[in-house]
Amino acid sequence: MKTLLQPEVLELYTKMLDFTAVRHTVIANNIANVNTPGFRRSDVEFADELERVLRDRGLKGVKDIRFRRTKPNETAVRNDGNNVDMDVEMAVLAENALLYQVYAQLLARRFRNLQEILREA
Amino acid sequence: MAEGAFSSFDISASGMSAERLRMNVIAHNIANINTTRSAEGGPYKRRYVVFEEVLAGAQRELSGMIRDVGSGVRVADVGRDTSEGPKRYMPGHPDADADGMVRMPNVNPVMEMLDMMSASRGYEANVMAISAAKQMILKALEI
Repeated sequence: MKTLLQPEVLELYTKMLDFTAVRHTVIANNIANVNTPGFRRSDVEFADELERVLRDRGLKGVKDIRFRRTKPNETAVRNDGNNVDMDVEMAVLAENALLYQVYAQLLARRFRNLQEILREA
Repeated sequence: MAEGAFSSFDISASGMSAERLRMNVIAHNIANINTTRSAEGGPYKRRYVVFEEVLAGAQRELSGMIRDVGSGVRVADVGRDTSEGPKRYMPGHPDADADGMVRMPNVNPVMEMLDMMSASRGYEANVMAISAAKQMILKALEI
């Protein structure tokens, strides 16, 4: 039964949905502050942490991953001290929204599969 | 302030209203491009908006979510550009000085046009962020 349900996988999908939701909020904040002097863009880091946890503890560790807000410094800064690049933000926004939909779809498919199995049983 | 999935709506809305206010100020500047009399005396002085990041409010920690993600932008101040405008020779004008020169407002139409484009692009980007959030939430309803 455990292999059939595999709650860790559901945990992973949920985590990815959480991550993309938080990242959307952070990107929306960057976009809202595109004309705020001195504002520095933020982003959310997750991939490195996920890789490390999957290597060390496997799927079981996913639950405890915490997201980290970062302020990347390598981007060009405008005259007013703001480093929000509208093209980058729009690209990240679109990518992130699509990723969210992918994880939602995966999660939904998993539940549908379970339903199917229960019906066949 | 809405929590979780809906808080990005508030953030983008704050960006939209800030850019709209900026647009209003620009329109006000352009409307007064030839105004030689203002409430504080002398020619009209161009106004500008000062944006400020909002940090408070979104303090939360849910299933590993980070704190202080930021909660948008607000207009901190509408300032007055105190630089002097150009002088124009208009001897018949009631506000002309002894030499027939009239001090004009310090509004630069090219600068206002640029600001206007920047405000309108900023507004559109916030609208895009809201429609992306709507798509995400609708997709989550399909789970």
